[in-house]
Amino acid sequence: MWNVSGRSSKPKNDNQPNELMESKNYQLNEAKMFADVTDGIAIIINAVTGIYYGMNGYGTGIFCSLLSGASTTDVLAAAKALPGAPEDLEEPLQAFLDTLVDFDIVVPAPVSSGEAVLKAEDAAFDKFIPVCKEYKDVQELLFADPIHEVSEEEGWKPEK
Amino acid sequence: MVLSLHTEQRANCFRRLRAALEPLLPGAEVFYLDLGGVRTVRILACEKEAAPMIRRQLAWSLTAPVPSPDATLILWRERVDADFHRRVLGLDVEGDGSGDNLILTERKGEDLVPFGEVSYANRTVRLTDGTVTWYATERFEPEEWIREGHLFVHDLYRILDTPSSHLVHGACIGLDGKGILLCARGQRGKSTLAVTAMLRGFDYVSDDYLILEKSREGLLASPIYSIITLSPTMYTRLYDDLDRARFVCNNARKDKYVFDISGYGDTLRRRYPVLSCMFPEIDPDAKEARVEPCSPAEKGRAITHLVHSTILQMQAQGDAGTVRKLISFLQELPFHTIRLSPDIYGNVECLRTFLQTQER
Repeated sequence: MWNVSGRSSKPKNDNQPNELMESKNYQLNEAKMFADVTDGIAIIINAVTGIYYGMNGYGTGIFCSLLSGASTTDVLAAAKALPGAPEDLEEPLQAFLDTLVDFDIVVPAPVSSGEAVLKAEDAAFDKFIPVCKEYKDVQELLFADPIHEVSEEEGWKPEK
Repeated sequence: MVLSLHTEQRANCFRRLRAALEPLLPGAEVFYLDLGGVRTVRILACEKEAAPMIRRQLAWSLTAPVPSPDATLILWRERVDADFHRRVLGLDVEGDGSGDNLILTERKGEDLVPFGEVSYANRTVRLTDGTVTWYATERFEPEEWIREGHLFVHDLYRILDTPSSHLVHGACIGLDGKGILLCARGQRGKSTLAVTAMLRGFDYVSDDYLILEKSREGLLASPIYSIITLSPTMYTRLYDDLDRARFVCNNARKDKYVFDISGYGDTLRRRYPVLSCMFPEIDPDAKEARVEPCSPAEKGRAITHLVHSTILQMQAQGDAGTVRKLISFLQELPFHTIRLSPDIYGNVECLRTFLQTQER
């Protein structure tokens, strides 16, 4: 019933070169973004536009790892080490990172070291597809259950 | 279930509703609310059992009759059964009305604009037409009046949404006209800190819901409700000091007690200047509390908590404009973190020391 606009970070299929081969660091774009992680779910608000962003559990783990100083290659290595990790981890991870950058949630950071901590149960539940979704009406975020409503085929299903 | 109505169907709903309630209105008890000088509201209580709860929960907002109130709430007793929408509103809807709520919307072009909800689970109905809201329930036990949050909180949230004001989920206390807005979701010590501070002589605005107004004098906080909710554990710890509080009921989840604190009116402050925001963090291992300036990331967390918690509590439409407004209210204020220790009175003294060093 409520209009949802925005993009989700479903894997792109545009044959872009894989940038994960290059290690990058990111930090929260504190000039624009407020963020909080509660109960394993990240909520981010763009202070300029008032737009909300929500992530699924796997995406939240990646996001927190990046903010704690882990590089993209650290994150990829941690994901690969999880039980049941599929072969094609890099493409959805790159799509997720592209989305974070596109949304201005993160900006490049100086090289640093940090531990990438990803929960196997979150990754398995989310089928190793990290998702970041934009909500122009917060009602959508409240109706959406970031843990249980995402599916590989359909992406986010905000209406319950 | 979401029901989309055309304008004429919507108008017919309200025609039927007004006709059904017309005989009840002359006998209604009338209350007036002054919401922090921002908005005035008239309540028509068509059920005498509602009056005590209005007096208990809203004692600090009740005021003398107002000639032209900004909004009206009409409250009546109604059987909210599976046939309500047919019987009272004349809506012929498929389904038996069990389980899910019925959300009533008006189709305006591509948009569906909600104007009402029939909650079969809670047995409540809320319909809004301009500045008038009709609210019906069939149960009048005290617990029912805290089931969806404080009394009329969803309606007051909408009424208080003006360009310069908003109802928020937060707490506010202070000393000597120096107010602190506590920004946090539930279970982070916000309410306990606010209530304990009130009991120790602080100026008190609210421990839960309050009005924020951006004025020429700066950001002002005003109370709405004269009740607090405390966990049984916290009630036990505060028991000796709570001599002027009166037990009202359990909350709907039965995990907290609701108290009428209108006996503490001497501590109450309206249109109280908010000079800074504080983000409580409970540290069970801390020997004593401490206050520290927030890092940019912590400030972001605090604002996110306040905005998200407000909208979550209200289950309200939080469009980007609302979010921007709330952020604009807070963004320029200084933010601090208070690390709360298990010593609840020590936490208050830490706050007192901090406030004594702050310039007005």
